[in-house]
Amino acid sequence: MLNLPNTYQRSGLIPTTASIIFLGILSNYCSLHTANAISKIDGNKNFEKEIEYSQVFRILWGRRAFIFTQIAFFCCIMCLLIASIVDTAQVMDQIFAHRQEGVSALRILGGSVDIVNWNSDDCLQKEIETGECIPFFNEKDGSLLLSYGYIVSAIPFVPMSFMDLKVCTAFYNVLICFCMSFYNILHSRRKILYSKSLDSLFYWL
Amino acid sequence: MSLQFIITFVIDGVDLSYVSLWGSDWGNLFGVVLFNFAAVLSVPAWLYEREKSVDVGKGKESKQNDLNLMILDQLLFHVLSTMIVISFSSIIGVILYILVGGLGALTMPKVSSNMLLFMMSGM
Repeated sequence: MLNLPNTYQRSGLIPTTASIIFLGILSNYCSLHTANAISKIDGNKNFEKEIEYSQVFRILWGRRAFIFTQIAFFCCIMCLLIASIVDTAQVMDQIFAHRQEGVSALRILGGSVDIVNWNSDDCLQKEIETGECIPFFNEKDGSLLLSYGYIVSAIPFVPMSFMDLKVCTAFYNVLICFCMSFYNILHSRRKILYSKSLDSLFYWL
Repeated sequence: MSLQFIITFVIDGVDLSYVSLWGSDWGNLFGVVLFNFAAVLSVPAWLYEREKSVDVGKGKESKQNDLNLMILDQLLFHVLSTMIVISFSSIIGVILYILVGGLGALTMPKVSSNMLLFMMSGM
């Protein structure tokens, strides 16, 4: 959802809206079809059995379909996870960079380890205009970067990785309430609900 | 949270010049939008882990003696209740995506690929 405003500006109002509606309908029918297929497995009319995505294919189509869909499922989930982690870490880095003088990261390149810093003041005007003023965006030399954003993001995400879907959702809700309360305590001088500044919207969230 | 975004975008004021009707680059359009509709992958897990009070097709009690009618009745109820839960969620998702995406694009000039980065940078 956070990428959609940029997509609207790049791809236009009509194509993006049409794509959202089309893929929404497609996703809806895929979900309904999946639920329907799972309900047709013997003894699972009311979804009493714990049947995961690829298991449906194993039961209905056999082992080959199971392996193929398991690999596809794994790749898809990994793409979603990696993209989400990178997005979250970049936002956290941006928060640190915005609140302090800059943000640091541990850079590992060819066996050597050093500390690299990033400050939004270093951004070129062109990078600002093209939306590329992003922490460590220019570090494209093949090095591995472990920034504060990744470490801070790992604190809530690692425990969540050991939970099942139901507990994870509850934990997620508690985490959001905690973050909002924590912010309001820190910034109790003014609780911003509606503001002319988008920057303050982020703090409220 | 989405409503918070929408309200703030509206209050902040929209500028129609920030977005064109047809855009200039459709390269990643389907990929980005599809990324937001990966819910189908979690449907099997949700079906098992949902609260038992969430009805996804449990057959209702029927006093009809005719077995065929009873099966038809339960099957219809099963399909309809599944459709209502999943379809209603999909419709809400589509509406929120259009509102947050569209209004966000109309509010922020040259927004970053992740709009939170743009908001934080204060540009």
